[in-house]
Amino acid sequence: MKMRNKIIVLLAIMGIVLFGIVQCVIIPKNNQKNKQYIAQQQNPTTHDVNSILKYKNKYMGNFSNMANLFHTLPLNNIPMSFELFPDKLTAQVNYKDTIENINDNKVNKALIYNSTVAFALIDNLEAINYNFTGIKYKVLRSDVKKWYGEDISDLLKEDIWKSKVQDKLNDNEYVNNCAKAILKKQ
Amino acid sequence: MNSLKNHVDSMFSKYKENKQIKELKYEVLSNLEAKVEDLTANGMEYSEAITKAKESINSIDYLIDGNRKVYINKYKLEYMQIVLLYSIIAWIITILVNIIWPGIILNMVFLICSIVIGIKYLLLNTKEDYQYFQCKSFINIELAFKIRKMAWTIWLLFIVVYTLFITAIQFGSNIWFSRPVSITGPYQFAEVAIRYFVPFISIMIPLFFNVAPKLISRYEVGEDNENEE
Repeated sequence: MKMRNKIIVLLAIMGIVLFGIVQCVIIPKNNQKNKQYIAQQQNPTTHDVNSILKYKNKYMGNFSNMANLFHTLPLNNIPMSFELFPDKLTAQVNYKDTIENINDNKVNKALIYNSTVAFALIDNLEAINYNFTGIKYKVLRSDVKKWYGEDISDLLKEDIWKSKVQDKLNDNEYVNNCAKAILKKQ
Repeated sequence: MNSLKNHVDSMFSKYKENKQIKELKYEVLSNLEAKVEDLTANGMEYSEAITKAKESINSIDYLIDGNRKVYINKYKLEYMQIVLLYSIIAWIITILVNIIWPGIILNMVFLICSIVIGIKYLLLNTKEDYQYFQCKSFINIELAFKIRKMAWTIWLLFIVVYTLFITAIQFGSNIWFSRPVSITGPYQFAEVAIRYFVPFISIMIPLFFNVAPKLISRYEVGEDNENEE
């Protein structure tokens, strides 16, 4: 019993020290990292492409897959709803806000990025309609494919994705040109 | 004779009526009646004979199968020490689990348990009353074995059901939509592994019941324990 008492005291001291380290150092550090990660997911140039590979699907008709995918992409902080038109192989995202409120440049970057992601992951998706309050855009797979000059799903490798999709979005001229080429106002 | 029957019934009142108890009651009552008849045959007053017979047997605990007389407070003290040890171990495990899995409530439950049991154990352990630790009482070892078996069975059942439940939550949609399971890195793997691991911390409960039969044997009143501290 005496030996067990010593073990209890030793474990209690160990527990108190460990508790202090975990609660005061490790967990706050992890929380900070998580906050930073969530903030990065709002930005197309820092978005983690590996986190969305699980949404790869042959068919655009899988509603939950599409909805979950768009909820992990930039602009996911804007209230939105979805509609699918399987006969036209088209998805529609209805953002409940105006472009002026969000910021013009931010919207262009996000729509270019989100469209590229959706066409790269969903094999039979041919078009996406983005409806904002007061304005509508249509993005076609053929236009995006033409812009990148290669099959969109080939871009999904991490280094290629970074250089050909994400890094380019830092250049505002590139963003404007791309927006003109692929975002068709309705 | 009704008074004898009432006396016997009151002695057996803490035991559940079963075949063994019924037989024992019958046997004890017969013995007491025989004693009363014997005493009255020798010229004693009937009421006095009843009182004498009643006085001759005050406890029937030693007659029950599996009942062991133990130093009850020594038994409780060591039991509390073991529970405290398990509780601290569980607390330390949940501290580590907290790094990946936000289970602060579980962690706090074990912390509070450890503090409460720790204080109680400390108060008992510092008691220097010799008489207190010489206190004896009966504990049924067969019941302790039965409870131990039941605790392990329920725990195993809980683990099986919980594991199936976690698998359904975690991978159900992958199976349903024929989607490959994707664990992208060591952190994600640890997250999944911890979800499976956390319910295993409840092993503390069957372990708690596991020690009872061992401690009953250790603190049973007898030659070996007479001089124990």
